[in-house]
Amino acid sequence: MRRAFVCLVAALLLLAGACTTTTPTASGPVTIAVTIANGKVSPSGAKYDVSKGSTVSINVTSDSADIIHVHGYEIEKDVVAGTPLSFTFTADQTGSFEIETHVVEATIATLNVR
Amino acid sequence: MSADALTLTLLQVPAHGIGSRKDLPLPFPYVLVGAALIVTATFWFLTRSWREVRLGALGGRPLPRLSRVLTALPVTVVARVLVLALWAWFVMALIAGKDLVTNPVFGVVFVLVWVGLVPVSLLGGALWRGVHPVRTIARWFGPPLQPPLVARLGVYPAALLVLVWGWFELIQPDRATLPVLRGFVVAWVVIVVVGSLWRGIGWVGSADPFEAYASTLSRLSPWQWQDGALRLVSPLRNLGSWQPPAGTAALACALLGTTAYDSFSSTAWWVQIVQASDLPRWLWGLVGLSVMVVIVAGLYAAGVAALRWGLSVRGSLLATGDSLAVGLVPIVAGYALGHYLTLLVIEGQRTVIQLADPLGQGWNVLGLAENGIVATPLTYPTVTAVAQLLFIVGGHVLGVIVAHDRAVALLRPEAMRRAQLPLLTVMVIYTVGGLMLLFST
Repeated sequence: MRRAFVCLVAALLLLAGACTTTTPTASGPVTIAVTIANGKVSPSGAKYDVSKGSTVSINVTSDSADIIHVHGYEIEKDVVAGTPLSFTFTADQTGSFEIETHVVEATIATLNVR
Repeated sequence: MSADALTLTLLQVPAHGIGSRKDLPLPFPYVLVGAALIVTATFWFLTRSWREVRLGALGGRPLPRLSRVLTALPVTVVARVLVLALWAWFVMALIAGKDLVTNPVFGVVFVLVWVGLVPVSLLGGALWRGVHPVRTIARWFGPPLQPPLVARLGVYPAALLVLVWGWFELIQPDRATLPVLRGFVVAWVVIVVVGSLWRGIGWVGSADPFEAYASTLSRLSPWQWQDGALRLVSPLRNLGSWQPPAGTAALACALLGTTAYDSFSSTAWWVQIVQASDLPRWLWGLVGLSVMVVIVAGLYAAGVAALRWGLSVRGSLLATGDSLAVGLVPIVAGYALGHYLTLLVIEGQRTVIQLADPLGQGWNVLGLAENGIVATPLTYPTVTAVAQLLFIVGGHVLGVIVAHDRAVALLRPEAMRRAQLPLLTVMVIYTVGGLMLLFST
């Protein structure tokens, strides 16, 4: 009984240990081109993997007024219909963050920062 | 930006910031296979060397002195009144606060209560029930003579209300606005209070989804009251010696299905389908949540149904399912911690800081407003991911152990291994499915 628990804990730790072998994440600047048209966003629900410290640029064109919100970083930008908008930030917090539009309620992308 | 747009922006910042999903640095298929192997190996070991009921009796060490302190009138009164005052503070923010994302009441409901009750119950046992505000108020009118829940109903009403809560928490589009949250809280008060007046205070245990959840998890804590005395017990024995009330399997499946939907609804695949569709989001959400709950409950029912041929005393599917649901409790706890502990750590701190100023008047009660959020525990995504993995795999391993001990009590010796195999398969599917959802990118 006791020995079995030791084996179990050892196996769990082995599993955990195996996970700590790191593989590199794509680093360097990331650019996301966003289009909002006819109440739909593009990209829609995309995933971007970036390494911590990378520069993220977001370029938006829209046919309607909207608000872009980068969760966690709490960046909010007004989008004016017909006027391209660009902004840049440094991905300096690790985690998984959604980039959303608030008028056309949609998730453009999730940014996985590691 | 117009004033309307500004309000809109502030309203729609949801009560979450840092997501719980992280990629594991290891090739993910290896992790899945490893986890499935660990769960299976645990079962293989159990069927070979665990042939009698070991967790059937509570055992443990009685703590008479601590029991006397905890049941002393001044202690119980102070604890209950303090917690009641805390709830009053929350209600003040709900009634008189501003409809802004900085109102702490959103974090109170979605994070401090719903997620916070997990560690409170796992570490503090029956604490949640002990200081429940409705029970405190009911005590003014007389001592509670009724049992903690309505025996015939079990926790079925709570299981149903967990699904309603899941819809509210994850799907209702305006849940992070004050009028909608007020409506929900009023509905909760009406259900719990009116029901208590109708069926006695035991109704709270049967129908309040938060208390039923907390009470279920408290069986995995190291504390248990027996014959008026608190005992320090092994959490496994605490759970293994429990005869769950009717509806516990339904409650556990509702909780697991809701958590699974939460992960599933943020997968790229699902988001893309929903956003490309012209059907309303809430309809997709309702379908997605229902499908997840049906999958979780259907698998469990199939595992239990397949086990019933080996029973030594014939029992109904529901009764057998509830008895074996002791094995689902660690899985529920593992998923809750794996999915939401990071949310509790970060958003819990934000909520506590916001509670310094519940009405948006610039107050700084207890100097809370001067604190910043400490995110140090989450600095290393790998550590977070490994902890999440351990919660989920560990939850399943404990689940398999406790379910096997219960199966030993229920099954004929010669049917022991074969009758349990389908339920083991369900456990492995839960493990792999749960990890795939949690770490999906």
